[in-house]
Amino acid sequence: MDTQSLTLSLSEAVYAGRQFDVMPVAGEEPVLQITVSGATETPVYLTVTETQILCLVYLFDEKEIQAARLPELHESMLRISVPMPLSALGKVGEHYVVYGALSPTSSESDIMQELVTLADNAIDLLETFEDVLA
Amino acid sequence: MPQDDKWPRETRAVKAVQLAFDLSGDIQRAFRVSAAMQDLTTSDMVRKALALPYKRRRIRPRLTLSLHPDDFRILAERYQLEPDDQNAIRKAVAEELSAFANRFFAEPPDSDT
Repeated sequence: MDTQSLTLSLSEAVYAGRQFDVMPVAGEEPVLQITVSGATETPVYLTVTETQILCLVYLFDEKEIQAARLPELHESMLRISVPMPLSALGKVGEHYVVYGALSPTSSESDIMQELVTLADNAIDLLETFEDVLA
Repeated sequence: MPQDDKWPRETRAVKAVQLAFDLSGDIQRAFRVSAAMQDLTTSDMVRKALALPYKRRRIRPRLTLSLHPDDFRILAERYQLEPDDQNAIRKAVAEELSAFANRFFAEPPDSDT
């Protein structure tokens, strides 16, 4: 599976009634920005390496968090990560992210399930953590 | 503590996503600003940039402000007025917004989109 074939297949696909808007982002490594219908505020960034398909949604920046509540947020993130379906929480630079990783041999259906779940989880997480954002 | 040099290829992929995220943020901001400057919707601005047909539905720029009791209290303190004197507060708000607009057009943003 590569980003080019994913761009073509996702653009015409429907999964669980959801559609996908795919926008390739220029750069050295191919990255797709995928907007899932019904979750347009949480676009998913996808890239493919030899070992995994990485799907990632940006949640918020470090500077958006109330400093005093940072330990509470981290504790909560670690606990939520385990039961959260097909997703985990992490940090890239100063950005907090929710991400999911799949095998490069995953089917299109598996990838679409991941994209839908991840975009929906991101919305839930933003609502969950709203209180600790400045 | 080991950081992210254990999986260099994966680290590069994560950085690529980061660059894509930053770039798409800049692009989206540019389109929002240029659309606002031309009274267009953002999606029409995207179509215009790509020389695709668009409906030229100019958005009607409306400026609305709903003030709640807490807002009146904050503004009354700022303008040194009585919180119950809502007319005077609204007048002071209108003057402040007008001053903001005048300042904005006197010192327009750098981009000429």
